[in-house]
Amino acid sequence: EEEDIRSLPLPSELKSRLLGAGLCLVRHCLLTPPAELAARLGQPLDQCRRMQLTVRDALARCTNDGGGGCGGFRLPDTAETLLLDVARSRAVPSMSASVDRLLQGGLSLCQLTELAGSAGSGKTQLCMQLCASVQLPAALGGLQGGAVYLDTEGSFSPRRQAQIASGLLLHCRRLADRMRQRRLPPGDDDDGNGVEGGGDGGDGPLTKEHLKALNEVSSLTVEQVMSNIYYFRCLSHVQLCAFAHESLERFLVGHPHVRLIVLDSIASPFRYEFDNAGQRNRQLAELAALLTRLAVSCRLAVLCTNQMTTRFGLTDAADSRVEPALGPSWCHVCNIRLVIERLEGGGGGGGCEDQRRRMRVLKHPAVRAGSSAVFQVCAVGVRDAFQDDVS
Amino acid sequence: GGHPQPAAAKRVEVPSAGSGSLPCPPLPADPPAELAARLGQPLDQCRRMQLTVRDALARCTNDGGGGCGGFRLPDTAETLLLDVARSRAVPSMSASVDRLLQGGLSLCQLTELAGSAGSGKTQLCMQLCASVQLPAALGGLQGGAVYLDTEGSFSPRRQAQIASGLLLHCRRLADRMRQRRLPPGDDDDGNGVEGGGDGGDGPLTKEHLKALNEVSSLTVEQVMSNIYYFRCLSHVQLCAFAHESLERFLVGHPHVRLIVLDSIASPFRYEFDNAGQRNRQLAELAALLTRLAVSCRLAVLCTNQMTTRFGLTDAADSRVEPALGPSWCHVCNIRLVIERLEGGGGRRLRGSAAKDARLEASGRAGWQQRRVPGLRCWRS
Repeated sequence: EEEDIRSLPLPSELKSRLLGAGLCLVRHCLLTPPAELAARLGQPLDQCRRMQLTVRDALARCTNDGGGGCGGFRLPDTAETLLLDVARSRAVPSMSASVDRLLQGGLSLCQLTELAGSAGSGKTQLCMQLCASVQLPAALGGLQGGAVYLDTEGSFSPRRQAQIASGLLLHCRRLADRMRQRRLPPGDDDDGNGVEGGGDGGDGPLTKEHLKALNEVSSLTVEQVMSNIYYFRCLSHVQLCAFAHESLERFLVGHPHVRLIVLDSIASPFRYEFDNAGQRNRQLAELAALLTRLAVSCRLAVLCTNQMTTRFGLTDAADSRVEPALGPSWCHVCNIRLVIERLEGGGGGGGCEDQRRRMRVLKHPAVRAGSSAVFQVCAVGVRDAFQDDVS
Repeated sequence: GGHPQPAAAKRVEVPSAGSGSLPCPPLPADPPAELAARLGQPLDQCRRMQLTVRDALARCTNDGGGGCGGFRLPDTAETLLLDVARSRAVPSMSASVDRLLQGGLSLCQLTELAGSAGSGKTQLCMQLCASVQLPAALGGLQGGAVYLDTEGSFSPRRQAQIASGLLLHCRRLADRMRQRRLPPGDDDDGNGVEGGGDGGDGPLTKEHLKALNEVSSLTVEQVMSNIYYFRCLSHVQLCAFAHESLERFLVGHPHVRLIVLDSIASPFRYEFDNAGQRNRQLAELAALLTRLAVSCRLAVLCTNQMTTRFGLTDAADSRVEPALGPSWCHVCNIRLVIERLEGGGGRRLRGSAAKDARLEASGRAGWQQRRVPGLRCWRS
């Protein structure tokens, strides 16, 4: 790619300065370190850096390449390029607006998330909901991806998953209808179960392609949704690690539309099968490193569910706390750690009071620890807590 | 500006030597004893004379301490103390932490920050990546930062939040300086910027005023573009990058003043069967980072995880201490531990007691300081 500086849309005095210094090819300008540029052009350092960024942006506009690539020239990643990297900021919505607000859009792509909770708190329900909502069509602002479900506990229920899938399709059809009527851009949703992000924004009549995509939404079936959830059952930690290390990457390469991996749960194969805590931590760390690498390279979200354990207070029995299992070394592995708890239902309201759950953030790089959101698990899946059960 | 003339051609006035001017080259290069013999003066007077000449030369050639146009007097503790570059530090935006660290994260040093999960190591790293860019007009380093991420815990959104909090602080500080004509380094609200500047009251110079105006035009994008991010997914990738590309990158980007390695524990904790091999790789990496810290005059911060060391006699005797074993202890000069405080967002930063030189720790029993929950954007 021997792009000439002259062909880029740059201010003319910048062009003349670069050409005067002998940098007529884009390659020369971008690949020279800023210090050398500063020496050649006789300019202060940050001015040279800004100039490089300007040239890079102009090139990106010409070649219509997303940030980073730019026709093969990799300027080093900065925090700014990461912020602008659209793919990283996508998330898998949970279908509960309060949870999505808490997690800043939903389950983040390119990250490993841990979801801990006591038995019956709703971890598997949330997993199944995410397996469905990752498939939200792109016309509605969703990821339109597939899901991989790694089951170590045997708690996956196909019938329940079908229920959740049909609840999702109902939501999709309603949303598509509303968009057709009001010509809403994707991402704007009244009833609070919004889909974050995506779409070009902007009002005005929908394009023909968009209209066509919306019509296709209505023709989605539960069978199609269920066929996009790939299920693997692992009966021991050996099986799980073997699958993860040997076959998972090849599978993901062959199915590049997968955007979510659910590992339900990571605790059960590792809690009791080891005598040696050191060996267990090592295997856990290897598995987690692999999952992180896949999350980053294949741009998908990974969710690991964890069980709860009781840590007894050393001095006082009343000092015992319930906390996620697998020990303190596992704590370091996941960047995002969430806890799900059941809320004791008060009386009154619809029949869904006792189905409410609270999700609390234990650790998150961008959210204050201790924040929480309330949602409910009802017949159609995970929804906001204040809604009535609409079937 | 410009390099000094070759030594043989220069003549320097020697103040208070009493013997008029002497040709320059013999003066700084001769050992003081010989000078004492030649000039017939006591020894320490000759030494002081050499230092005076050397300082005058340094002022002429505008070289930081040490170089002096090619004449290297042996480094003494005094020259190190006066070496301005070494005494600079990256402020943490919390005055109590900066007091603890004597200005902030020291340049030319390797610092270790250990803490349990969720204690705030990455938050502090992101804050330092922003505050290293404090403009020189406000007494800051105005440098860039390199973020080596091995855990994937860097959040661009949070970094942008922190960057905008920093810019708010900069604007307030610049406004106050313009109004009161304060010299840089003097700050009322306790989140001060230590050191820097020429001191002295009186009206600000025109260049200083111009620099202050430029402060207000800084944007979050500029701050974010000064943080170079590298993701390393294994110890092999990390070592390869560090040994092959990092030095070249630093030479090409000489404004970088901070390297954050978050964390050094995750690639090294579990990927090795052989502790000896692991320690060797760790030591190589640490030696490289130290060399870069000194030669490029930057601060290096490595975050570490915590591990539980079980008491041999008593189960209740188990302690939580920084990971990576006792051989890693010796590498970092400055070891810090960050802990969460119960209730609220407060964190405590203390000098780690795990370093073997317990004399050092005990002499500073008063080091424990509470850090204000003021990564500044959390207030707004």
